Amino acid sequence: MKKELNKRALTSLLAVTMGITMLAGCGNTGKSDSAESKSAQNGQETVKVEKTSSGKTITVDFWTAPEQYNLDFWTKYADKFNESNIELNGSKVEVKVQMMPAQPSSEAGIQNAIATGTIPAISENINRGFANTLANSDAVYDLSGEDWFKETVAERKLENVTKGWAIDNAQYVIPLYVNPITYCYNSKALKELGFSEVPKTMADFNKLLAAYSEKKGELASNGISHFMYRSELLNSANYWERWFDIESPYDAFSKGVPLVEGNKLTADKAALTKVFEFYGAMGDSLLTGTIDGLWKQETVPVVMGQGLPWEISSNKAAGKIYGLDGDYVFGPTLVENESDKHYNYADSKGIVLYKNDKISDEEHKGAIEFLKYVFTGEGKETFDLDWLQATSMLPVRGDLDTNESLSSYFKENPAMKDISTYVADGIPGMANEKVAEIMTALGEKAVIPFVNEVTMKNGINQKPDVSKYVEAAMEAMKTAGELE
Amino acid sequence: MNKKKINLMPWIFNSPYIIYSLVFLFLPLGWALWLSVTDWNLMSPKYNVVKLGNFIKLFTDEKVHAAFWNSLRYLVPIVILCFVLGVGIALLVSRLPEKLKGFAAVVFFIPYLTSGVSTSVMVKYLFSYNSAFSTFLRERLNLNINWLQSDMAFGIIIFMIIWKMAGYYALFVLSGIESVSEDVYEAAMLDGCTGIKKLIHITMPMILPTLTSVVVLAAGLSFQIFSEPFLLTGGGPSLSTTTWQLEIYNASFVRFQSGYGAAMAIANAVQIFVVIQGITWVMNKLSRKFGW
Repeated sequence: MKKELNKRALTSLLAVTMGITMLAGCGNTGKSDSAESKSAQNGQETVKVEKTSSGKTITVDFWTAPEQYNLDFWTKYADKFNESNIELNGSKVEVKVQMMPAQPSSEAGIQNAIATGTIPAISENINRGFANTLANSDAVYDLSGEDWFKETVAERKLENVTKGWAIDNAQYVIPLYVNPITYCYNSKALKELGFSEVPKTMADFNKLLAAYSEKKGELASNGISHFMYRSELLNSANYWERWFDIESPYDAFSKGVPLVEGNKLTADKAALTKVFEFYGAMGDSLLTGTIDGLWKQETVPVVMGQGLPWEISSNKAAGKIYGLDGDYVFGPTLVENESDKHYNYADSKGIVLYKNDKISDEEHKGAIEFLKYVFTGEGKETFDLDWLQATSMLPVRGDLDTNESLSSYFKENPAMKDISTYVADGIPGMANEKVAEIMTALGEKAVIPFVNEVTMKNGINQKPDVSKYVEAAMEAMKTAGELE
Repeated sequence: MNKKKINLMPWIFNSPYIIYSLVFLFLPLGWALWLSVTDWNLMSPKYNVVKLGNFIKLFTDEKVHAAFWNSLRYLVPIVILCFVLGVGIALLVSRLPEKLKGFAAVVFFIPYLTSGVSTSVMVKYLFSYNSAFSTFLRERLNLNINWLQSDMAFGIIIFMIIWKMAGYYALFVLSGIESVSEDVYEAAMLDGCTGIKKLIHITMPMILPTLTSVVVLAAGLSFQIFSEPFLLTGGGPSLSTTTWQLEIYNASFVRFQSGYGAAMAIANAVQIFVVIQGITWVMNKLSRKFGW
């Protein structure tokens, strides 16, 4: 009898242990509300002491973009802030920096964090489209009425910039960095084709294309097999790529008329036609596919490509020299007339403050203290230069061109200096909740069929009829976005 | 009055599985069912109960239509080729000397262990428009093919899945072949049944339960394809390679329509259930008719 009881007790214990072990995996791995909880992330171990209401420390969680250099940069500023012992109602504010989860994407990581109540008080890496989604979900604070935000705007001279970031007349984002998407040219190829400066107008472009067409064979023997390279022209799943290959030239041709405004399709059909004609003129000399580190190659196989500022630092590390006498050079978006503004797509992201039941009022206020420290307090003197050096991305400032603290940096980095001149004409992406659908449909219904059916089957300057694809693009955007 | 004694032991022994099923199967299923009748994006504190709205929308969504038909388009070649190659590999390996059998089985099993991501990256480099292979075809043979954005993309994805899974299913079939008693073969030989006759009349009927498993597993696989189209084609061109998993992912995590994504997942589950039930029914009929 006793033996049987022991056996039963043992099996019960075993079953309970197995059950508990299994359920252990369901525990909350996000931030803990309990006192003295330990967390080890990104190699850093921090001890959270009495998060709120005890009067000791208010811990503010800050998520950076999923890049090591972003983490290092913000950790440095958080450490400085923490050392300055800023207090709020007698409690010390302490900022804890972590890299945001980026699997499957940083947006999905934020979605998951909001759903599970593990969202931080503050994060960077938010574009206008996603900010619109967050705003419509009541997940971020409107900053437009806040005095500290107005001071930040004034300090960084963002009055004009914030107009472009407005969502329903409100401001949810502090613009942090901007990458104007323009064009990049192979300096050696330009020289071989007799060009001593980068094309600025469509007339310049047409001359360059005609020169390439004439010397095509000669250039091919030197390793330049195509006129232009665009990597993801045929991948509709990467919908954001349409911002670069369609929206940026469209912004230039349309003189800044948005593709979509609110819930209306406002696209300028004539400008969109010019975008398709621009690619159509290149015909089969347009190269699509996958080339890693195009501008780092010994021989760059194209005359021009998309100008992506984030490639500059790795090009430099690979020994590539910037400039018309070097290996590669940036140029503006192409316009019809010399006097036209070179509008371009501004790949721009910023900082938001999250609104969530799990974020206490104290933590939210602590996050504001940190932002004040960075943008209008002690951090403001060094922030922009440190940011540029750490990330090689242009900080959003209204006085970027004239700011003296940055002049020495631009002198040493002519590529960044050139790009900085395009920032003033940069237009952030549309603030529409269905931006992903709109851009995916644009790719699926118009761009990809156009490339497959037209550019690949035509030679240079054959002037193909693009009207069918322009109509398809307009209809696709309208249907996908349920636009008026 | 006799008090009926409740025997707790079966419950205790089964409790890990019961708890597992509750936590990882029934709770998520209930959660998905609830989510599917809302328009929630998992972020907003507000959401609407749209009742069957999401399910009705499925009928007019071309992405869902494409995922539905593509899953069947994937199913046919995957099931047939996995079956044929699985049986072929297993027969080849079964005839090898004992010392080599294990080694050969491992060789065919290795593709299964390879990550779908790494093979997709390799294939992307091989078949991209400006790969050495495509450039060679273009410049030397005047064949201008954009593999991953043409009808060929579907075939490439099928090839990758077959390459990966055929060896895995071959192990099932091999274990079935190995379990057939030598006595049966000897008896058959005495009756003059050898060669292909032996395969058709002895081996295949005796391993029919194993073959049923292979067919059902391969059919299920057709509904789980994700990483290959995600990394190679994005579901294109013109949705010709898209899958349920890819569309559920895009709806839930790219377009933030989590309620609609849950409705798609449920529709996908219904299709899987119906198709697998149909295949199982056919295979059971075949087993009863031809099996031993």
